[in-house]
Amino acid sequence: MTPGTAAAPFRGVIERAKLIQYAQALHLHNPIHRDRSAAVAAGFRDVVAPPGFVISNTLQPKALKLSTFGIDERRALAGEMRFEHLGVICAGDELHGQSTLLDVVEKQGRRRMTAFVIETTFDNQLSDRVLVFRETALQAED
Amino acid sequence: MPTAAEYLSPSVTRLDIAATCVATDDPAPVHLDERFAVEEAGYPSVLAPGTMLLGWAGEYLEQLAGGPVGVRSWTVRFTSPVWPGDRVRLATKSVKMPDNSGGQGGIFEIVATTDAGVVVGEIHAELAVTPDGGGSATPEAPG
Repeated sequence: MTPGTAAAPFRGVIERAKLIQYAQALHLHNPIHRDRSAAVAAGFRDVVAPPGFVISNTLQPKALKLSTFGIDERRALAGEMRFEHLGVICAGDELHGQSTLLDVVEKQGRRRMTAFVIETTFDNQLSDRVLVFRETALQAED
Repeated sequence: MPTAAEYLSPSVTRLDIAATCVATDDPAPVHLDERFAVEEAGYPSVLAPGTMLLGWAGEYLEQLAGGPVGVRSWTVRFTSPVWPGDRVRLATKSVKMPDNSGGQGGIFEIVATTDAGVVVGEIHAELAVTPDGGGSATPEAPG
């Protein structure tokens, strides 16, 4: 797969119920992640997505993303993830995203691996870029 | 709310793992199907999805930065699985305040370990903090 290849754009709404489910499952402490009133009182539009909630698989199927870049999901491992937060994401935000393959690197360690570096950008309904998410997917080759 | 010196997750339960998978639309059987995890994937049990560590790390970074607006960028490296029964402790190992930051940025090196002392993640974060360690971020105006 050639670096620069882009997956199909995707879009979706960040659902308040999902954020609340997530905050409850992780027993998060800050009420802005599960209580709309608390979030609004703190100056936000709605329940706030915790940093780390929105990743490339949040609004697009992981299998579709991986297959677009020729990655075998059965042999894929999550490597490093990087978040660049450019704006706060709240419940009700409609995000537009697109994943692009930035680099493919062969690695020889204990196992022969191929590292796929993928960047996914997220813009909100105001056309503001709110998140740049970069991940390394590792594929075992032997 | 806990102090920002460190962050301690609750003990991971299979129910919380399943609830996280539901919230994040993650159907991977290594998190949800004990038989698959043990017999087919070769793990000792189901394992927690990485999204759990991401969420705890995200809240810890918010505490350090004084809110979500102060969390600028961070990189996480997963180094070992988190299992049911584990508690994850996030602690800051070092902070660098660049001389030219004007009190607006700090570089934090954070490690995540289990009660058993296993390092499960390493985090490098740039946060908007003041030199005295306080968060400088304020919420953005509603859009």
